[in-house]
Amino acid sequence: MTLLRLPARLLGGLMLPLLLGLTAFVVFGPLINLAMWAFTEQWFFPNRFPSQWGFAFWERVFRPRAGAWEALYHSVTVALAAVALSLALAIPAAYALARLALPLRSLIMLVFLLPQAFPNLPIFVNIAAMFYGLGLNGTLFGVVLVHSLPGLVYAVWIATAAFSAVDRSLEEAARNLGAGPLRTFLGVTLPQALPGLIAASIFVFLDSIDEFTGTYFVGTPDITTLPILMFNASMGGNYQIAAITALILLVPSVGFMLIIERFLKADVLARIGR
Amino acid sequence: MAALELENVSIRIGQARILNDVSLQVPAGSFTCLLGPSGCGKTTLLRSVAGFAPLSAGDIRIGDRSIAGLPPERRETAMVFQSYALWPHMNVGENLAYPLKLRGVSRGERERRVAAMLERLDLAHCAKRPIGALSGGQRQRIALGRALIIDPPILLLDEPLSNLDAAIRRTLRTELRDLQRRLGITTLMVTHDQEEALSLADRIVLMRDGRIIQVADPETLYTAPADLDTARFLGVDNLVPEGGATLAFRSTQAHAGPRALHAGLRRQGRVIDSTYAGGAWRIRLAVAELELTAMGEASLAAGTPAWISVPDHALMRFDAHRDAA
Ligand SMILES: Nc1ncnc2c1ncn2[C@@H]1O[C@H](COP(=O)(O)OP(=O)(O)O)[C@@H](O)[C@H]1O
Ligand SMILES: [Mg+2]
Repeated sequence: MTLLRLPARLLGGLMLPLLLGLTAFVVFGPLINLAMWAFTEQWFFPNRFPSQWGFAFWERVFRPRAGAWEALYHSVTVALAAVALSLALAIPAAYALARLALPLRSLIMLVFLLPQAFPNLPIFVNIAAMFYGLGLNGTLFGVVLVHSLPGLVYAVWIATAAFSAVDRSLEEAARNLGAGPLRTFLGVTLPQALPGLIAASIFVFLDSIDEFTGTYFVGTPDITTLPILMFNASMGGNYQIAAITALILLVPSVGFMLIIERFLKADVLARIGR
Repeated sequence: MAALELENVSIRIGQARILNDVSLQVPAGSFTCLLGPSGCGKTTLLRSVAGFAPLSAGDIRIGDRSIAGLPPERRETAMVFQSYALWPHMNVGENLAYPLKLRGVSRGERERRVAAMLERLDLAHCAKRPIGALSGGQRQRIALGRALIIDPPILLLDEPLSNLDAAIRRTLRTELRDLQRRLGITTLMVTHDQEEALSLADRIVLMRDGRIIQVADPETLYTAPADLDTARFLGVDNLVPEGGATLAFRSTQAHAGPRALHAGLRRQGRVIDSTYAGGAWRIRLAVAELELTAMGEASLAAGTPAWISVPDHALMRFDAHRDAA
């Protein structure tokens, strides 16, 4: 028995690292390739590795006229504005939804999700046509609106879950002890739902930072964000520039999450430990 | 004078009639308990006073002022929730200070009153603790302190002790009673635990199916329940039909033994079994087609004949027609 079990156990012991390795390769493989391209000066086809490494393309990307700085600036402002706009609309909507009876709430939220099930290309083409009439094409505001569309759906969904999870007796205790409805919302409900709202804003931010299709139809050529820059570089066969832009794209994403996490730590972690 | 008065209050939610034509006067300074089986509408009644359960009909007054139309924040009733509802994003001191802050009390005054309240609750060392670091009993006391800190005219308690274990519950019960006496605050408390109601209240309001069945002091309620169902709810476990009426008594007040005692009710039967109940034996007897239970000094063997004797003062008589009403 034990003799038979030994190889099985050995196999089992090998299985896990093997699987982990495979997963890591699938997830990180393309990223490693990308990272290599970012530091490549020469890389010819059959070779597995670049023949010449260097920072030459970084210098080209950050040259003032190359547009990377402007694209970065656009990306970040648009993402922040999309977060602000989506949450400003989502918070009251989600609060109202969370207070609805359950079957009705689920129905409304499902309907809300419906446009997301649609292929978004025709939607963006239509939006672009509409925005053209309104003079919003090629404006930052127009791009913010386009980014807030999917952002709003995320935000409403996550915020509704967050508000539904707030114990109503906490709000009632505040009302009972003298707080009006608004005071109760700001002093009790909002702080209780904060972790969910922060999760929502992270989602909206990340979604906006690498949004491409909508920006392409509504923003270009006047507004260039990092994904647009990357697309242009890739189409021009300039993989180095595309790779470097992709790496730059990580900066605001990681930065935003770090700031939020730092901000979360004191307040929310204390609460999770409750 | 009634500090709090409910007049013909009815509450319907959809088709369900949760409260039916409830009228109640809560005397100033009294400790009044709402007692009744789970689901009979006690919490709903309490919430209607606090403004969280809109009335379908009737009126609620504090003193001579109607509060039925006021939003909760303007009713000046302080409620302790069954779950305590302490705000987890504030520490203990902040929880206590928040109601004062809402009333525009200055910072210095707030700190002074919070410190005084923590002192009174014997929790001075907990001021800076997060709510999550408190034990159940401490949470309960903070919830009580948060309600009392605004000096409310009416204190509402919804099963304040039911989430605690037995030992803490007894300590806090005494504490609650002392505090209420000392402050003289009109208190309305919900409980489904008759022992709690009997030991705490000076008036008990017995409820069933959204109605008030009886309002009485604890002793009257215990010895003279209004009807058979109430008697059963209050631990009356033996029923003997007699003519058109029913005689009822508690097994703890009846005696079982080989000989009959001088008593209002005496019956002979056979022992079914004896179980030790601490200090005495609980003896089940088959008397004709009835099964009765009484206490005896000694265990009796199953099948032996025995007498059950119930003193007059322990007997309650319920007429059949009144019971049906
Ligand atoms: N919001 C509500 N919607 C529908 N039914 C309710 C609601 N609140 C309470 N009830 C019903 O009203 C009855 C009384 O409830 P409650 O006042 O909580 O009783 P108790 O506190 O005596 O246990 C119960 O049958 C309960 O199911
Ligand atoms: Mg209840």
